[in-house]
Order: sequence, then structure tokens, then C-alpha cells
Amino acid sequence: MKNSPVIIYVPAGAGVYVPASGSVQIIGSGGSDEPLEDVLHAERPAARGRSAAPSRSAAVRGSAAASRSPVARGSAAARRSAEEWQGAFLRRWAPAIEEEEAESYPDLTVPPEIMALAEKAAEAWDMKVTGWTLAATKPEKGWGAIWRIETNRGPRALKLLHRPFERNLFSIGAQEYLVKRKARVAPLVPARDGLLYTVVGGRMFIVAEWIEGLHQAPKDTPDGAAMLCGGLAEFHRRSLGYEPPPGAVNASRLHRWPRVYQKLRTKLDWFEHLARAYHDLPASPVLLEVLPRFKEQADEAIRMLEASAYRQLIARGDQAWGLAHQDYGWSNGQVGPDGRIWVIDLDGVAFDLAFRDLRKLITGTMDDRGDWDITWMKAMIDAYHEVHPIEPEAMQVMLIDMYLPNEFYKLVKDVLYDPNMLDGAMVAALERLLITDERKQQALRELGLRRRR
Amino acid sequence: MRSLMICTEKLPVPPVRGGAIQTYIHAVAPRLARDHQVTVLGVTDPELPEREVRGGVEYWRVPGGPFPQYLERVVNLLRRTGRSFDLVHLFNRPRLVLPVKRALPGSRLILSLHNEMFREDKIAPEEAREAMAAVEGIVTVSDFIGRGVEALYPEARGKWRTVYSGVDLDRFLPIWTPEARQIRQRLRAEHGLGRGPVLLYVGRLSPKKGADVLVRAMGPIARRYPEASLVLVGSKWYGEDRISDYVAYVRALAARAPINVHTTGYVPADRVHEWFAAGDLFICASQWEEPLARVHYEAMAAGLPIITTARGGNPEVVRGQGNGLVVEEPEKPGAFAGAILRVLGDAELRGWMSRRGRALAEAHFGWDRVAAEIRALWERQ
Repeated sequence: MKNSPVIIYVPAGAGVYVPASGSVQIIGSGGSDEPLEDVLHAERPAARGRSAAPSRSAAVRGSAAASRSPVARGSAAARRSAEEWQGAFLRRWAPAIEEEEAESYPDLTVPPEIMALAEKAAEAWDMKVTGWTLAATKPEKGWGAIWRIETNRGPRALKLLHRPFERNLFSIGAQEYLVKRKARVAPLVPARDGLLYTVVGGRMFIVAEWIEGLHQAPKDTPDGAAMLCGGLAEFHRRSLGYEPPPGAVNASRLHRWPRVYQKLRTKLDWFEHLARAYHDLPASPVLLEVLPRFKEQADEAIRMLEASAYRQLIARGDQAWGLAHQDYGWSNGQVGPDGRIWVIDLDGVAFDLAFRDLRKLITGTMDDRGDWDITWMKAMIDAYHEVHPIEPEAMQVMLIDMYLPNEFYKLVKDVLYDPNMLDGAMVAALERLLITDERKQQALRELGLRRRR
Repeated sequence: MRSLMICTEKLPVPPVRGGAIQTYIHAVAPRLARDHQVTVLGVTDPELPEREVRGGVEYWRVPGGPFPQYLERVVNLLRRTGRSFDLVHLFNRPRLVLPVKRALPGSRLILSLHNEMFREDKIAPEEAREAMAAVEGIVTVSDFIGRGVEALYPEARGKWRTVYSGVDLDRFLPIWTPEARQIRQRLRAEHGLGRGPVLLYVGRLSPKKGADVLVRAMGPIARRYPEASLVLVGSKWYGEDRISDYVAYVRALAARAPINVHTTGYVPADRVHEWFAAGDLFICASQWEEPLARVHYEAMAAGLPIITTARGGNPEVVRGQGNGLVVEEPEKPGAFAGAILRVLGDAELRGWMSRRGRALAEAHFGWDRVAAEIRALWERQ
């Protein structure tokens, strides 16, 4: 766009990508009036109270947070992909992450006023805080963050929630319920006034016990994945019957599936229109060639969902299906000192056909591994089913959810933000995807996906 | 009489944060307050006091948030004040009807509908029927909305009537006035819009509003009018994820459009009229069944020929009115191109539509007319 200003929200101390053209207005916190030079060459702020060997792998968190940063999304003339930006960010501001072990934290920061709020918030609890380590941040959506705090009552987690108040009441209530039901989630600590949260400066904070010794389940064997699935099943089972407290939003995705499928299908049309508009780029012809295949899959998934038992299943209501975690994976399901899976980061829990978490874990794992290994998939499903049985009709809906071309969508979607990603690398990635998609279809057939011929 | 107007939980009145319902209430309340005692109940805002009197209207404000919380706060306030009202005029929230009736059993109730708020996913049929019986009338922004309620609940027949909304005729000046010409020249120079023609789209950038289809319609336009510009007015750059993906998509399309596409970003409500002054042709590209977008009245007031879509209530103020064209297949870029070329290519038609739009706005779509109709409903016993 000619002449339109680019506005970038920059967390204090972060690197800034300057687009080739267009004026740049930096809105940051603490130092937004600094000239661009100074921001780019600013000293890296020292991380506050970094302690040795923190037990949570926040490196994954930090990078995940960076890739969701508005800088990657908002920059109009960004020539780099979101991953590239994130990599550059970490290389510039946290080179340590490449040298140190996975357990250490990169140099995460929060704006000083957020730190001040956190310190104030901690006073609402009956504890003395002797050390602070910033463990993870979510700079987008008005800032979320987690600190590991050393206290006279043991190590705890202080968490700044970024969602609206009434939405947080839902997830706080859920965590409390799960603890009561003996799920392996961190117990929340009540503040002095008895509430499970405090509000400071309009921001909501909670405190939970810190689970020491959490580590990632092994990623290289089906056993690790199976462990993760067992832990997920436990979580789902113990969430059944949860009712949100008064004043809380009733967060439910139960009825959303058709709309979600349709939105994905619509975006495939957007890909087509961009491929035509950017017809000269290397990947555009290939993309146009493969699109019909994936559009057909999306259309069929929509039809299959409607023809399935989906409507009957959701008619049972929120309490019958319990809570989906929404963001479950190797970072949020970790092995505890007892050798069992503990589930963390419950912010986003919502009522849903909970097996959607399982679907995402399976397809995400297969996508990451670049292969659809039926042995793995069966091991994961069995491990889940053993703890929390999946009825046959629910299994069909889960298979339909797998059939939706999510992998294709995830591969291409950043083109919306940067059409120049329609490059040689994308050509290769699309060709690889076609091959793995064949294996995916084979696997789904073997798992029993029923399709109308 | 003593009247209470209850706004929604979304945005405050006056419309310091925008909003069509809020603009509506803000325009009619002072006019109605000339003859009646009017109180407006809505949500708080950091910029507004909890209680005030402004323009002869009394304002009460309670914190917003999710609807159930707002409903509770409204009912609690009504019980606490112990004030009685002859009439309560509720806006766009059928689910407020029964609780308000319980809190103010002696008051007449009127419900204004700006959206399809009687759909089953928004209100359970049993409550809907009871609410409908409890109100003496339903005021809709378009026949489309009224017919929709009647289709769901046949007992609504005869109970609803359309009161078309309005526009500030003094702010949205016709493009041929000296004031408007000055603004026009300034904006065009400032933003490199040249000698035009300037195609104007005003509205949020979301898939259901169709800006992407419009951008894809520019090929045929570019061939005849290489100097033309498409101006997309009034949307933030980023927000919720869904809107961001779409905004990114539109921007990517615009970067490769064969004519200049200019996005203004967010424009405050009191500056939007300037863009109407700068335009040559107004386009509403809505793909969804839109109740009736107020931008149509704004375009008429500015004397801009209108191209709109055959969706929802929008055609009601254009079809057969001589002020514009209706696109029957708005999912097709070619359909927009055809309509746009027809208007751009015929100076006489353009001039006629232009003057007709302003004449219609003056005769029918000023706020005085809207307030008069509301007043008539209030005073009818």
C-alpha cells in the first residue's frame, strides 16, 4: 500500500523489522518516543533474577509467543516469513538459546509497568517473594506472562492472564474443579481475601503451586506420544461435569464445528485468488494445481460432518463432553516427578467434543514427523481409549476432523500475510505434502473413516 | 411522559466509540426530550460520567461486559432507583424485555430491532413468544428484519413496523457544496487520489462486507479508467485473528490490483464524512443479509450515486429509488464491475442519481423524521 503508515507494537527491548517502504510508527511501552536507531541498537535488558536450571521448557513457549507477535503479522511489506522473523528475533535477543540447554530461558522481557503490576499483585497473597524468573510471555493481546517465584511457601507460578475477566473466571473455575477431581494440574493458591485471583491495574493475576521437575515426554518414540495421550484422556475424564461459576462466560465450542470447517474452506478460495493475482511467483502455478484436491477434501469434510452423528453428540450438552484443553501438546503436557503427565496452561479450556484435542495431537505429530505412521496413530488412540473410551460415532467424527485438510491450510496460510512466500521453498513443500497426503488418506482408511462413494 | 431508552451492552451513548444503535439513540433522544422526559440507560466508558444530563437527556450508565452481567446490572439499577417510567424503549435485546417488565410492571414496552435478534440461537422460542406478547410494538430498521421476525413467529404480524434510520444532513454535505469541495480537494491531494474517479467503500474489513470481491472487480475498471482509485475507509489494521487474516488477504489483493487501492485505516466517527465528500461513487459490497447499513443514508446525504447488493434490507432504499443500482449477484466481481462501469460511463445518469440521493435524504432520512415517528409511537396509547 502506498503511503499507508505501518504501525508495529513492539515489546520493550525487542528487535524491530523495518519494511522497505512506508513510514513506521512504533508504539511500544517504555521508550516509544525513542528514535528508531536507539530502539534497534538498544542494550538488551538483563533478565530479572534468572535462576539456574528452571524446570519448564519455556524456550518453546518463548518462540511460540514470538511467532504470534503482531510484528510478524502487522508488517505490511514484510519480506520474511513469520518463522524467519521469529528466528531473527531469538538470534538477536537471545543467542544464548542456541548454546545453552533446552531447559534454560531465552531473554524474555515484559514492559516495566507489567513487572510493577506483577509485584503489586503478589502482595495480595500471604507469601514473601524472594526471587522472580520470567518463564514465558504472550506479548500479543495485551500481554500474558508467567513468572516462577521463589517464596517462603515454596516455588510458585504467578500468572498474568491476557483474556477478558469473565473468560478467565471460566478457566480458573475449571482449574479449581480439576484439582478437586484429582487431575494432575497445578493447584491454585487462594489470595488473602480467599479469591483465586487478584486484579491490579485492570489486569488479572493468579498464583499456582509450581510443579518441580517437569520435563518433556520423549518425542522420538510412539511411547512418548502414547503417554501424552493417556495424560490427555485423564484430563478430559476428570473435567466431565464442570459447571462454570456465576459471572463466568460459558466458553463452549460445541456448536462451532461447521463454521470452523466453512471458514477454512473459504480461505482456500482466498489462496486461489492470491495465486492468480501473484501468478508470476514460482509456487502460484503449483498451488493452483493442487488446490482443487484440497478444496474437494474440505467440501467433503463439511458434508461428512453434517451426515455424521455430530448433531446428536453435541445435543448431550457441555457437561456431558467436559473440557478440551485447546492447546495440548509436548509443551503443555509434561512428565512430572511421579512419572505421570501433568497438564499446564489451562487458560484456553472450553467445552468441546474433547477428542478434538486428541485429533490435533495426532495430526500435529504426524505433520511434524512428515509421515502418517499408522502404528503411531493407533498407539495414540489406544492409549487414550484405554483411559477414556471413545464411542464409535465419536471416532467417526474425529476421523472426519482429521480428514479436513488442516496440514495444507497450515502450510499455506502465511501467504496471506506475505505473498512472497509463494517461492521455491513452497513449491518443494507442496510437493512433499502431496506425497504425505496420500499416506494420510491411507491411514484414515485403515482407521475406518467411512466415506460415501 | 417519562421514557426510558435502554441501549445494548456493547458501546456507550453518546457514540464516543461509534456504533449505529448508539448514533441512533444519540440523535433521537434530544429531539424526543423536547416533549418528554427522556432517560437513556447504557454502558459506562472511561470518558463518560456514570450520571449526567446532556442535551436535555438524562444518562445512566452501568458497566458493560457479557450480556448476562449487563442484564443483571440493568435490573438491579431499575430496582434501586425506584423511578417509574410510562414507557421503556428497549434496543435490540429481546432478552431484556421480560426482566425489565418484571422490574417495571407498570411501564409500556417498545422494542427496536436493528438485527435478527429473534433467531433461535439468540433467544429460546418460549421466551421469544412471551417477550413479543409483552411489548406493544416492534420497531425495525428495515422490512427485511420485520419479515424475518414474522417468518419465525407469525404472531408478530401487525406488531412490527419499519422506521427507517437517519443521517446528519448538516454533517454529510452534498459533494457540490463549497465546504464539501474544499474537503474533497484536500483529501484527494493529501492521498494522491488525482482526478479520480474515486470509488468509495466505507465499513469494517470483514469477509461478510465483501471488500475483497470489490478489489477483485477492478480489472475492467482499470482498463477504462486507469486513473481511478478504490478507497477503503474506516477499518483497523489488526484486531482479532479472524479479521487479521482477512485484512492481510485484502491488502495482498490490493497490492496487485490494477488501479490504486487506498486504505485509510481507522477514521474517527466525526471525520468519516470527509471521505464521502471526496468520493464519486459509493459502493456497499455486503455479502451477508445485512439489516440496512446506515452508510446508504450517508451516501445519499452526500449526493453520491450508490451501488449496493441484493442482500438483507439494503436494497429497500435503493431499488426503484433512482439513487443507485442493486447488484443481484454480489459474490461475482464481474457484477460489480458491470454496475460501476454503467454509472461511471453515463454522466447524466450519475448526475440524476446524485441529486436524487440528496433529495431523498432531505425528504425522508433526516433525524427529525425518525424522531417524529418514534414520538408518534410513544404517544399512541
